[in-house]
Amino acid sequence: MLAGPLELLVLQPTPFCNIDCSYCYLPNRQSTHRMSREVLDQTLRWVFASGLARVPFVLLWHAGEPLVLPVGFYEMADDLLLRHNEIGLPVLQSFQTNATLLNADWCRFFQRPNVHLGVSVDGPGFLHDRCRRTRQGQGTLDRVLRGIELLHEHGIPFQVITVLTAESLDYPDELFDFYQAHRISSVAFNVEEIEGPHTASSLQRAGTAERFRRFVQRFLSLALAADPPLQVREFEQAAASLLSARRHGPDTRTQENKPWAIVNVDCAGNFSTYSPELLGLTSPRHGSFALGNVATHSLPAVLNAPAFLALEAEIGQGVDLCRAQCRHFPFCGGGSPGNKFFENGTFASTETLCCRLHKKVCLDVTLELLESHTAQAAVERERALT
Amino acid sequence: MTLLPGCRFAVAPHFHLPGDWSSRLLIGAGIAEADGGFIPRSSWRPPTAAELSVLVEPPPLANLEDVGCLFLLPQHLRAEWWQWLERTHESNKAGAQSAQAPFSNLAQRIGEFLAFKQLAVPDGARWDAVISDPMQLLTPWCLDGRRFGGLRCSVAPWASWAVTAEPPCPCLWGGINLGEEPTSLVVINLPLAKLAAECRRRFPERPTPATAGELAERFLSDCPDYAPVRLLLGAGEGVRLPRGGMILAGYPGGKAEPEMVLLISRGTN
Ligand code: SF4
Repeated sequence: MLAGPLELLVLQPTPFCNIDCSYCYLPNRQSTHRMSREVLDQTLRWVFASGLARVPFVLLWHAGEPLVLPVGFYEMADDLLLRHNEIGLPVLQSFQTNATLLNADWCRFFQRPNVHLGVSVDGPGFLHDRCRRTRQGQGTLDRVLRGIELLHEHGIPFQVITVLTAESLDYPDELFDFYQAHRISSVAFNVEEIEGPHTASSLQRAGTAERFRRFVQRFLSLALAADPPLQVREFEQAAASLLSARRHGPDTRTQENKPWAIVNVDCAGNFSTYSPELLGLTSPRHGSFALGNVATHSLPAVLNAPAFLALEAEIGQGVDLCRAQCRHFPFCGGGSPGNKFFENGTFASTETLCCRLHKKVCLDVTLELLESHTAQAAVERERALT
Repeated sequence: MTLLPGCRFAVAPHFHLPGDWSSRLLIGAGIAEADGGFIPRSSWRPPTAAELSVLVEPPPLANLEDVGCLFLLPQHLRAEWWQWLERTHESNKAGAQSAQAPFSNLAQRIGEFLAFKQLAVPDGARWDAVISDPMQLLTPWCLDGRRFGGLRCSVAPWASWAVTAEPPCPCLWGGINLGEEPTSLVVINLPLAKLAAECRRRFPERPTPATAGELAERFLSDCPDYAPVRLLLGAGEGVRLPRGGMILAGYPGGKAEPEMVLLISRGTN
C-alpha cells in the first residue's frame, strides 16, 4: 500500500486545557503532561523518515490548549522542524486556541510567516459562556475578546471556529453581528459532535435538521451580502467540492478516511491515523486506536500490523457503503470515521448526525445559492442583451 | 390601586435581551387629564415582587398571542435604518425625491428577520417610521398619529372592542425603538375585555361603550387611580403587543435625541 501523502500532522503538545468546555471530547484534559523535546524530535524524525511527507502539509498543534506551553517550546519545535525537513517541504503551522492565554509575547510569535491561527469562540456571551467555561464554572468570553483585541492590535490574521449547539441555531443574526463587531472576517462552524466522552449532543433533538438548514441559509445570506463578504469555511468548502467533484470524478476519499493523510501524535509519541479524535481512545473490538509509538514503531511495521489492516478494512467498508448509498458522496468522500464509530458503533456505516448537518445541509444550501446566483446572472445577462 | 392581572410581558422565544425585568418596568401613580387627553402622572417607582409576578409571564410561554413579546433587532438592521435615513436626507437635500431608496426594502428585511424568529409580522402589515420631538411627554403608538392626544388604544378607535376573530380589526401589531437611546412605553396592563369589566365593576349602572376608542376613554376617566406601567425599551428593542390590544403611548422620558419608532400595524390596508 502506498500510504499518504501526509496532508495534516496533528501534534498534541499537552492534553491539558485551562478551561473546561461542556462539549469537549478530550478525555485527559486535566492531565498536565507535556511533549518532551525528545518526543518532539523523534516525532519529526519519524514523519520525515516515513516517506509520508511528500507534499506541503499542515502541522496542527491541537488536542489540548497549545498556549499552555511557553513560546519557547514552539521556537524549539521550529528548529527541529527545520533540521528534519531536509527537503524543505512547505509546512504551515496551525494553532487552534481558546485565546484566553494570548499575550504580547504570543502575538510576536504569531507574526512569523507560515503560521495560521484558529480562535475558538461561540459568539455573544449568552451563547459562548453557556458552554465555554472555566473549571470554576465562569464564562470565558471576556478573556477571549481581550485575546482577539490583542491579535487585531498586532495585525495577526485569524479564523474563528464556532461550535454550533441547538441553542445557537436561533441566532444567525446575532452571531453575524458578533463577528462584525469584533472584526472577525473568517468563520468556520463545527457542530456539537458525539465524540469520545461527549456521548450526547443537543443537536440530536427532533427537528434539528430543518433548524440547521434555516440557520445556514440565513447566516450565509448575511455573510455573502456583507461588504466585504464574511468568509465562511462551510460555504467555501462546499462550493469547492461541488466544483471539483465535477472535474475529478466521484471516487476520491476524504482526508479523514484516507489512510495516513492525517497523522496524529500525542504528547507521549503514540500515533494514529484517520480522525484525530480517535487517538487516546480504545474500543473492545479494535483495542487502542494508537497504532504505535514514534520511538518504537516504523511505518512499514505498522502498515502490515493486523490492528491497522482491520481498521482500514472496516473504514473502507464504510466508505464503500457511503459511495453506494449516499448522493452526497461525490462531494463528501465518505465522511469522518470518528463520527461513524462514536455514533453508529462501527466504521462500516454511513450517515451520522455530523454529516447530516455539517455535510449534507451545507452542500444542499450552497448548491441552492450557487444555482440561484447563476439563474439571476442569466436573467441579468438576458436583460442587458435586450 | 393594586395592579389587576391582565396582559403580561415576556422575552419572545428565540431572542436574548439584556437586563432583568425589575430594571425594565416602572409603576406609575395614576392617570391625569390634560388638554382633552389622558396622561400618566409623572411619578414612577420600581415594581414590587407581587407586581412583577402580575406583569411578567414566566417561561415556558404557553399562549404567546396574549403576551407582550419583547424582541431585539440585530445591529446590522439597525445600521441599515441609519443608512436609509442618511440617504433619504441626502436625496431630500438634493431635491431628488425619486432617488430615495424605498423604505419597503428595509421593512422587508426586518420582516424576514422576525419571520425567521417565528415572530412573523402579519401579511399586508403597514410600516410607519415615526420620528417625534423627545420633549413631548407622550408620543404616538397608535394607528393614527395625526390625531394623537395622550394615552390611546392600540385597536382602531371605531372598532368593537369585543372583536377578536378573523379578520383582525385594524390595530397596532407592535413597535421598535429605532433610536440609539433607550425609550419607553406607557401601558395599561389590561386587555380590552378587562377594561370593560373594571368599568362595569365601578359603575354598574352605566352602559358599556361599544367601540374600543370609547372604552379606552371611559376607563381612563373612570379609573384615574389605576397605575400605568412603564416598559423600558433599549436601542433596537421592540415589543409585539398582545393580540387583543391595550391602551398605550410612547414615553421618551427625558431623551436627548429625537424619538424614532417603527410602528407595525395590521388590518389597515
Ligand atoms: S454525507 Fe454522510 S452518508 Fe453521505 S457520503 Fe458523507 S459521510 Fe457518507
